[in-house]
Amino acid sequence: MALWNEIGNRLSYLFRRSRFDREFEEEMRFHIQARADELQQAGLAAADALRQARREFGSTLRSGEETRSAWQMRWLEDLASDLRYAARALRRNPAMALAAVGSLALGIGANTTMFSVAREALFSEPSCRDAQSLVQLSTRGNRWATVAQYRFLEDAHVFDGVVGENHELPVNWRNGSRSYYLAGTHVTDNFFQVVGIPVAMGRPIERGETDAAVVTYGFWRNRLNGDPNAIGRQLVLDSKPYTIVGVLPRDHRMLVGFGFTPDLYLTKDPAGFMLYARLPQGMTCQAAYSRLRPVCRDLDRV
Amino acid sequence: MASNSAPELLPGTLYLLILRTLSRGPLHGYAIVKRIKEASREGLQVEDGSLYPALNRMLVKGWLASEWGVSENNRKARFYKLTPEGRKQLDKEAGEFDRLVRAIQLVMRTA
Repeated sequence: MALWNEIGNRLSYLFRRSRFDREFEEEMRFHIQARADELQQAGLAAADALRQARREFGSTLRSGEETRSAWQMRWLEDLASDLRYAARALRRNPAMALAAVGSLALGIGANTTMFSVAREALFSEPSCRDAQSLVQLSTRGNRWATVAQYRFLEDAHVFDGVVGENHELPVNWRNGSRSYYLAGTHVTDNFFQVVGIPVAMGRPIERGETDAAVVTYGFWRNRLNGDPNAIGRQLVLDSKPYTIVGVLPRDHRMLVGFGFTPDLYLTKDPAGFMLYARLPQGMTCQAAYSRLRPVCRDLDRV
Repeated sequence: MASNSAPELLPGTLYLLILRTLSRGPLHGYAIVKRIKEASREGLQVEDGSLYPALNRMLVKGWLASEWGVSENNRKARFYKLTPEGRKQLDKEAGEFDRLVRAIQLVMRTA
């Protein structure tokens, strides 16, 4: 296309400006010389002929300027010289440059951080199936329930499943002769099934298992060195052997919300749980609440 | 000087004249001016100052190509020649110019 050819020609000019200037000067000299030759043949003295040829040609400076402008992309060259000027000015005044770079870095950094936190806190969803029908239960405004309360609610069959989770209990991992302090999340054996947490490798903890553990991606990567045969490995946790049955995906998010990542999930009954329940299909929170009411009268006696 | 008496070129005709002059073979800048002057029996004088900007604009447009060679009196000179693109442009501009001149003549004769 003609336009592209033209742009290409102009661009190539940018890279051979000095050669262009040299050649143009030579061309002017030739032109004037050719005219002088002719005048000399007509009978003028050599010096007079050259002088007249020069006069006839006019200003080579102006003509050169106009010729050059045929090739130039004014704005591009202006931009380049502005940038060069700015770079020089900044180099001459490093304190000013540092302040400018610093304030830009802080501004961009702060905004990025705010954006990431806001996205994570406001818009992220936990890693689970159908988050809409998953509810958290609290009794009298208390989010912690005893194991007995949990069993009672589970047996009441108001929901499609009630699960308990406690992420505040540290676990002691004995590995050979060394011990590590791990952030463990204790869950009821039905937790993975009811919540529907996807695993990257292996399988989730299944109902009836008492010695199974699912580790997070970070734990697998850093503590188990990304062992491809991690599934089936034994971990001695709080002096009890557990078997790793699964590894969570890298982007796993806990139910409690952002910012907290445990090392592993394990089946264990702690003193207390936070309760989550899966609403039966189509049931609203209101309906669940009214069905829960008579159950709660009995719950008080537990 | 002849340029004092020569009429000014119509705008846009300089390209046409250069294209036509080069259609018979490569020439350097000075020869182009001379050829136009002779062909017009001294009727047209291309200003030296406007020749080179015009030649370079035509190089940018890709109508002309240039290369260095040796002139008739053994000096290093830059020769210009038509590209296929330039030949197409010449046909187009020559046709347009003919139509324009004929139309103007028609008006001059009848009105």
